Amino acid sequence: MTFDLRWLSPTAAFLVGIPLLGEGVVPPARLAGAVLLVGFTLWGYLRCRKQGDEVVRAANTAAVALGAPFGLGLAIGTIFAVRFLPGARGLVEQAAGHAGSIGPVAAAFGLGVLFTASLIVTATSCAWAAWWLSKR
Amino acid sequence: MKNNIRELRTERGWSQAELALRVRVSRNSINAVENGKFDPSLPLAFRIAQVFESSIESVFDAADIWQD
Repeated sequence: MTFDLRWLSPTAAFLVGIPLLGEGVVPPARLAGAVLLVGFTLWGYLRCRKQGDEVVRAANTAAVALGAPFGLGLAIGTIFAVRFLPGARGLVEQAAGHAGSIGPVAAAFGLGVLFTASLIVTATSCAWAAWWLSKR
Repeated sequence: MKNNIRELRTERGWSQAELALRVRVSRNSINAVENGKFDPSLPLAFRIAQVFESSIESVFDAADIWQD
């Protein structure tokens, strides 16, 4: 199986860019940075998805079609479950408490977005690998 | 869809990677098509047939296309 590493640059930009938009950045610059960052990440992933031969594109399409809804559903289910688990809820509140200038609500929202994105990426990667394994 | 890609390829002494280079697809794609796990589009089927200097019918077996 060939591992296509083109998805690394948007992922790296997203992970490196998020902390850079934290403390010390004025709100308009933060908003512009966030829009640019999310835009670059989406553009990078879409570019990866459309490249390659028809079999690779079929693998990418199947991975997104199967993995993204599963990851999103899992993330939403987990976020709802966290509301009823005292330990997990305390962990989120503790992390949000270290938010600094962006505020605890924004920090909790950011954590939720990062958690959801990471589950979607993980589920999509698993679906992609499973698709290729099924075609061997 | 069944095919004769493996036989045609080994007759010529080509590896999957070499065939992939000639057809301009990835080696995994050639493997998926060769094992009958992925039905190629008409342009890709033509390209595979052309690198073997054969017709599509002699590369791909259309016997099972009516079975659902």
